[in-house]
Formats: sequence, C-alpha cells, structure tokens
Amino acid sequence: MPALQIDPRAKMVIALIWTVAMTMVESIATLILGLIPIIIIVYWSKQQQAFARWLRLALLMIAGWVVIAFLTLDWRMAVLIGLRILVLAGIFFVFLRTTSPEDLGGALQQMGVPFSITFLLTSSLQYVGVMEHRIRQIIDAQRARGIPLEPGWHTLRFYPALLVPLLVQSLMAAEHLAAAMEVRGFSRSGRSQLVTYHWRSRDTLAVGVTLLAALLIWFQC
Amino acid sequence: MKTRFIAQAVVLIALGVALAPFTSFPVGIARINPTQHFINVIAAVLLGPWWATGIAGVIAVLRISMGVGTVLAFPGGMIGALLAGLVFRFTRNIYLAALGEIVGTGIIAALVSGLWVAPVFMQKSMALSLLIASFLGSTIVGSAIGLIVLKALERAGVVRLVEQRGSVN
Amino acid sequence: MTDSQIEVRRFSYRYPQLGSQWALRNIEAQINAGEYVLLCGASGSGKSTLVRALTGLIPHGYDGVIEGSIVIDGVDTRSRPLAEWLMTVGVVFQSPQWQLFNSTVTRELAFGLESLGCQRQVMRQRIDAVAAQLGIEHLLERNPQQLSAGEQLLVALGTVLVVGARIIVLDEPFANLDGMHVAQVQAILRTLHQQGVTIIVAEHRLGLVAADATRMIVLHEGQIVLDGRPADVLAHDIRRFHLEPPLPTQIGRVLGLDPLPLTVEALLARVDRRQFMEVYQPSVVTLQRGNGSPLLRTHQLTYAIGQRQLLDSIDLQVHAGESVAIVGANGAGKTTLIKHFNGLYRPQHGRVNVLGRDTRTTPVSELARSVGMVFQHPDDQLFCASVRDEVAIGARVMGVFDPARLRDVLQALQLEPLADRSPFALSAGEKRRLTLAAAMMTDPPILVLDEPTTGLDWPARQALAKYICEQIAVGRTMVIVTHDLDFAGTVASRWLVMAGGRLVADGSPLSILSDPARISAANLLLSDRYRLTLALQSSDSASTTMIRQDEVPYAGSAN
Ligand SMILES: Nc1ncnc2c1ncn2[C@@H]1O[C@H](COP(=O)(O)OP(=O)(O)OP(=O)(O)O)[C@@H](O)[C@H]1O
Ligand SMILES: Nc1ncnc2c1ncn2[C@@H]1O[C@H](COP(=O)(O)OP(=O)(O)OP(=O)(O)O)[C@@H](O)[C@H]1O
Ligand SMILES: [Mg+2]
Ligand SMILES: [Mg+2]
Repeated sequence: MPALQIDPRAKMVIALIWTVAMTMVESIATLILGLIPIIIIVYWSKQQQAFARWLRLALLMIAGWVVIAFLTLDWRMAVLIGLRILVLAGIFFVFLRTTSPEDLGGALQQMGVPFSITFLLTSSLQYVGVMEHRIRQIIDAQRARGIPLEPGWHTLRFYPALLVPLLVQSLMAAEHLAAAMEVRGFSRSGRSQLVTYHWRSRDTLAVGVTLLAALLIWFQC
Repeated sequence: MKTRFIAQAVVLIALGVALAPFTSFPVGIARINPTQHFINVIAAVLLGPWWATGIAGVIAVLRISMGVGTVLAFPGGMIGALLAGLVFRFTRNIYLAALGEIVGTGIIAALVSGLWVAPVFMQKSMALSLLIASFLGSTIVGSAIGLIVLKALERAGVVRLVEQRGSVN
Repeated sequence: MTDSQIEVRRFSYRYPQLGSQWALRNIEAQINAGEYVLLCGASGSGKSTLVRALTGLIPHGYDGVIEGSIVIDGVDTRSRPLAEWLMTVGVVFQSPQWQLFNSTVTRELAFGLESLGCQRQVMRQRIDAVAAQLGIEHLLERNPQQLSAGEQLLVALGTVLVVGARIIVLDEPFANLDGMHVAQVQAILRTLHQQGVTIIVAEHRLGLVAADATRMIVLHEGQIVLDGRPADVLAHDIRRFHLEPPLPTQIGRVLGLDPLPLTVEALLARVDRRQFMEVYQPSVVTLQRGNGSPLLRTHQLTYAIGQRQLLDSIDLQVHAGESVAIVGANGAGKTTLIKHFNGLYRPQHGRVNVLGRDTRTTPVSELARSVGMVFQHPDDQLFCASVRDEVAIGARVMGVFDPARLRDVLQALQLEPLADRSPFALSAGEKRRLTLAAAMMTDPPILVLDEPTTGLDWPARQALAKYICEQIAVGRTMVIVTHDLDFAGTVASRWLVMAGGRLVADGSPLSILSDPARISAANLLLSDRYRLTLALQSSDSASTTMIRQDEVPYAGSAN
C-alpha cells in the first residue's frame, strides 16, 4: 500500500484537526471543500479502487441517515448531514488507509502509549486471516453433516454451531498466544523498537497547513 | 497474568473483524451486522469494560483501514461495550450486561452519533426514534446471539460465569 | 549444589481445573548442559505440562498446586519472573501459528531482542546471522501467517535462537511437517547439539528423534517411568506406555541385537537379508480395485482461488467397496479435493459425480446423507452440551434421526459410557471417535476422513485403523486423506498421490514408493517401514514384499 511519506503521528493530528473542523461547519460549500483533499489523497496514494469499494458501502449507510433527515427535517439538512458523514468517514478512511495499523501502533508506542495497548493494534491484524480460515473450516465441517450455515435469517438458529466452536478455539488460541508472548519477554520493561519513526520538518509543515485551514474555516463561519 | 487478557483481546479483535462478512442479515434494502455487538457482550463478560471498549475501538480501526467500516463504528461499537462491561462488573449478570449493550448502542450511541453529525436532530423526536430504531436492530440480534453462546459455553464447561471476575479456563 | 543445568526435584503439578488429578507427579531429573533429550509419552502423559514447567510458564502463567522445585542454572523457576527467562530457556510450542504474531519474519525475530532492549544495529546483525543459520533469508519480508507449517517452525526456532538461549525446548515440532522440513529440522537440531546447546524435544513418534538424542525420558500418566540412553530405554517394552518403538529397534529386539539399532541404516548394516527373512513372513500387498461400479468420479476437475490453481484437471474414480488413500504434502490440495466430494466446493471446470448425481446441482444437505465426511479438527464441530446430542444433531437437522441407529453408533465406537459428558472434556482420541460417530449416523455409503490421525497417539491410531478396516470389511467405500504413509498403507491398498494441486500418481503403495522421483516430487516423508521395504526390495528386485504394520512380532520385555 503506497503510503504518504508523513509520520503517522502527524497524520493522526491532521485527521483530528480536520475532524473537529468538519464537525463545526454548517455550510454545504465548506463541507464540499473539505471533501476535496480526501479525493486528492485517494488519487495521490493510488487508492481509487479501495475507495470506490468503500464508497459503495458508506453511501448505503449515509443513505439511511439522509432519508431520516429528509423525512423529519428538510432537504437542506439532509444534504448537509449526508455530506458531513461522508467527509468525516472519508477522513478516517484516508488516514487509516495510508497508515498501516502496525505503523500507527509503532508510532503510538514511541509516544509512550503503553505497549499492551499498541500491541493490540499491531498484532490483531495478523490473526484476521487465520480466523477467516477457521470460520470457513467450521462452516464446512458443520455443513458436511447437514447443519446449514449459509448467511441469512433462516440459519440464525444454527449460529451456535459456528460461534461455539469458534469461541472455544479462540480462547484456546489465546492461551497459546499468551504463553508465546510471555516466553518472548512481552512483559519485560525497557523495550526497544526495531522500526522507529522520525518527525521531520515536512510533518510540522503538514500539520501547520491543516491547522491554518481549520482556523480559516473557523473564522469564516 | 495480564498477558492472558491481552492475548484474549487480540483474538477477539481478529474474530470481530473476520466474522463480520459471515454474519450479515438483510433487512429490507439495508443489512444489519450483529458481529460487533456479539463481540461486545462476550468481551464485556470475559474481560471487563475497559478491555471491551478497547477491543471495539481497535476493531473499528482495522475495519476502516480495510475499507469495510466507517467512522461511526467508533461510537456504534465502543459505547455499548463500555456500558455492558460496567453493568456486568457491578451486577455479575449476563442478561443485564446484554441489556447494557443494547441501551449503550441502541440509545446512547444513536444519540451521540446524531449529536455529532447534526445537533438539530436532537430537537426532532421523530428523527431520534427513527435513528434509534436503526441502531437497535443489530444490537438486539447481536446481544441475543452473545447470550446464547455464553450460555452454551458455560454449559459446556468452557467458561465460568458465576466465578469472581469472570475468569476463563 | 550439583553442576547440572536443569535440576527437577520431586516436582509435582496439578492444574486448577482438574481437581485432585496430578498432571505431573514426583518428577526427578537432572539434565546437563549439551544433552539432547527426547521426552516421550502417550497423549495426556504430561509432556506439554513438563515443557511448561521447564520454561517457567508453570508457575508464572498457570495457577494450580506445585510441589518440589525446578532449578535452572542455579535459579529456582519460582523466584525469577517469567520475562527474565528468555535468554536462558527458549521454547517452541506445539502450534507454531499462535506463536508468530508479527507482520513480517524480520519483526518476528526482532520481538525478543526488542524485549531485551537491544540497539538497532545489534538487532539487525543477530537477525541476519540467525536467518543465515536457518536458511530463511528469503523469508525475512514475508508474513509469518502465510508461510507453510515447516517454514513457520523454522521461524519459531529462529525467535528462540536469536536471543541466544542455551536451552531449547520443542513441543512436538514434527507434528505437521512435510518430508523436506522434517529432514531440515532434524539437521538443525543436530547442529545445535554439536554446538553445545541443550535440546529437549517432546515427541511421540520416536523414530524421528531417537537416533539423534543422547537421552530418552518416558512419561506415563505424569510420572517418569524410564530414563536413559535411547538404545537402553528402547530395550524395555515401551508399548506398555502406549508408545510405538521405532521399527528398526523392534526388529533388532527380535533378532537379539545389542546395542539396538535405531535407524534403518544401522539395522541393514548389521543384518543380512536372509537372516532378516527368517524373522518375517512379509505379506504381498496387491492392488485391490473395487469390483463395484464407480461411486465417485471426477472429470477434469479444476479449482482456483484468485490466481492460485488449487486443483488442476483431476481425473479419478472410486469404486464401490474400495478403500483409497489420498496422500501428499501440506498444501498439495487434498482437503480442497475432498470438499468437492459432497458439494462444499463446486467445480469451476469439469464435473464431479457422486452416486450418479452431479454435485453442481445437488444441495450439500442432500449429498451429506450419502457422503459422510470427518474433517481434520474435531474441535471445528463440537458445540452441543453432551456427546449424545453432538452425535445426533446432524441427523436431526436433516430429518433422518433414528434412535436405534444412535445407540448402535455409540456402541460401535465405544462412546456409550461417555454419552452424557461434555464433548469438550474428551481426549483427542475420544473426540475423533465422536466425529466419526456423527458422520456414521446417516449410514453413508461413502466415508471420507481428512487427516484422521492428527493428534492421536499410538493406541488411538491403532483403534482407528481397526475401525476403518472393519468398515472396509462390511463394504463401505472409504477415502482417507493423510500425509502419514504408515497409516495410509495400513488402511488402503490404493493410493492417489497429490502434489501442487495435481494428481501425480495412482496405484498400489509399493509401485508408487519404488519410484524415487515421484516421492521427492510429492515431498513425502518416507517412514522407516517403507525405507526398509525399499532397501530389501532393491537387494532382491524380484520380490515385491511389504511389511505391514501389524506383522512385526514383538518379544516380551524379558529378553
Ligand atoms: N491448560 C490446561 N488446563 C487443564 N488441564 C490441562 C491443561 N493442559 C493439559 N491438561 C491436562 O493435563 C494432562 C497432561 O496433559 P499434557 O498436555 O501435558 O499432555 P501431553 O503429553 O502433552 O499430550 P499430547 O501428546 O496430547 O500433547 C492431561 O490430562 C490434560 O488434560
Ligand atoms: N480459501 C482459500 N483461499 C486461499 N488459499 C487457499 C484456500 N483454501 C486453501 N488454500 C490454499 O490452497 C492450498 C491447498 O490447500 P489444502 O488445504 O487443500 O491442502 P492440503 O493438501 O489439505 O494440505 P494440509 O496437509 O495442509 O491440510 C494451500 O496452500 C492453501 O493455503
Ligand atoms: Mg502436548
Ligand atoms: Mg488438509
């Protein structure tokens, strides 16, 4: 995933400033303005495909809000609300899409956030694929003996046949994982980092520009 | 040991992210996805409020970064987890914990999300009730599944729910 | 104070959940620096528990009752926090998957060094050195979860070596490895042993380690029952402890050799063929094609996920009453193939016909009645409160439940005494029988088993083989997927060999194994039994004899 060459911490600060700014504004024009950087970043980091896929999903959810707003308020509010969710969600999409959870965790760790928290960010992702595989195996094993587990309401009452084996195995796996972490010195203090992150002047610049833009928006309103 | 809690959190997070595509139910044109709420109930009971909230937060981060979630997953997941965890800590009752999750997500998270994107929402009770209704569906299904599974795990002797601090074998 | 590196003094341990049952009882052992110890015992004998105790996880990670003590390098395991152990004792656990939690192999290797607070240059140097030592440089940027089981094991070993541990403990390292990686890991352990590292390997397939080890400790029901040089320990009757002696030692004992040979080579060097044939009447295994009609047929079956071709034009037929083994290394596509037999996977190209029905148009729930399938991990299907419900649930859901059948099945698999227990509380062998019972509920004409020997010890394997042979005898068609060639040879006279998604051979075991090119292409782990058979065969090419598992006579421990 081609990432923007900006420190994860800077990206986080930028995302937060931007979020606050976009929460404050009340004009449709400004919200559209806030949308432009998102599109630029998407192109710049070559995330068009992922963005298109995500957009389909996000629009479905936004549509629900817009319909509610349109029914109970007026069309202007509906557009405003729809746009605002789109911008807020878009900010986090580009932020997390250009920052791997691992970099985010590493940078937070460097900032002094406890390792036990940043570890969740860096290591959970490794097991998503493992879990998917297990889920498929369980579904296949149950279907092979006649228990239907295709998605949909009609199989809801058979969900324990998927979830119970899954949780039992997960808790056992957690036991193995805990032992492995422990014997590799997880809870030792004075840990160092192989990969470190450096705050450079371009990071300061990027944060400064964002802050300036946010202040401009603030005084406009 | 604390490491065991962290390992369980890691596993539950991976589970929450991986399970979502497999548990999506159609409701009219929309879909509800109870996975997050199921994980919330389980995590709240097994690990307590702070871990449960953290787990919901990390699941949201991972889902957004994978392009399958939006920013509303933060309030929509974390608040219910926190409330369910707190309720369970004080009552030791899994049904009340599930109720905590339903209230936390279905009502409080709906309010918070509404306030965040448009404070005017708060003045229209009609808008609010529609919003709450749309949040309630997933959390009720998810909490119910969570309860059933917890009971099954307890019957099978895999977890002990009455013991102090909900410790896990 | 003695100078042994590890001192276990009357150590006993009890898990908190197990009530009054001791997992380890009065363990007494001194292990010196540089020893290579094979720790063996049947399933549940306490191997993993002892591994946990030696690495400080007991008492630091587990509650429970402890008596006695374990002292390593002069320090009691109880007095030093677990996090301080990593430079002293390194451990590779039973499931490599769950000990690799970083995004790249480099980070994986760095984790222990980070815990120690090493400088970055130091980390880089050590990582490079260990990667070179293990030959995993080309994997450094890969994601550990996407490696094969063998590669994962090497990485797990790397995480231990990189911090410079002088004692290395491995829990069943060979469990899931293919032929090439078994040889590689054996060689690495030999080298480490020569470098003076203390090695402790828990394993119940003795043949893989006994020849290299300097010492063998046999655990039985939590106690040490034998301890000494492998050749000496194997001179006892270890079948009493549910362990299968390596074939060369079995034969050596019958021939009265002293010291006992531990490898096929050592045996052949000392026994000539004629002497050998006097002891055995090896039977001739002939290919028994089923005489019935083809029950199961695939035609040009092809299946791909994304760019990866998992199955490539598979053509095969299984006839009524036949017993077929599908063998092949990890990732060869065996599981993918059998999932086509009951419609779980639908062919992307080609056709699969089961009992005359096309799997593309027949629902899984219907095929499930004629094709019983048991997958590798029993844990994947257990969810009911009792064994009885667990066996019955499939048939109930399909609407073909018959209480009389349930009774018969429970009885045939000796599950009656367990019927009201929780399925989660069973041993590995009992769980396997339970999943077999669940598949037998519909009395399917075809029974498909995926890696049925996983996690089973020797008696459980024997029992399973016996059950399968009984089923063959009553005319049930069997398809058995396995990478355990000994087992495949016992239960099937026809083998289908898979490699890289293709069917590379189809025939009798011996005809397949006598072609070395095929074996190495399929990356099979040749067991002692076949190596011996092949060696004998090459010295007399006219005979096609084969030693079957049940035919080695065994003298009592008296001689
Ligand atoms: N975490 C645990 N909690 C409770 N009991 C356990 C635990 N681990 C093992 N036991 C029990 O302790 C006994 C010894 O088990 P252990 O895992 O040490 O055997 P093992 O020799 O490693 O067997 P295997 O070959 O199947 O791995 C068994 O009765 C087992 O049920
Ligand atoms: N759903 C999937 N997505 C991607 N790759 C897959 C999937 N299922 C299987 N594979 C890959 O296909 C290959 C063949 O898998 P399969 O499980 O059929 O092998 P196998 O011969 O049964 O091996 P094993 O002995 O490990 O069980 C493996 O490399 C596996 O990683
Ligand atoms: Mg074990
Ligand atoms: Mg397989």
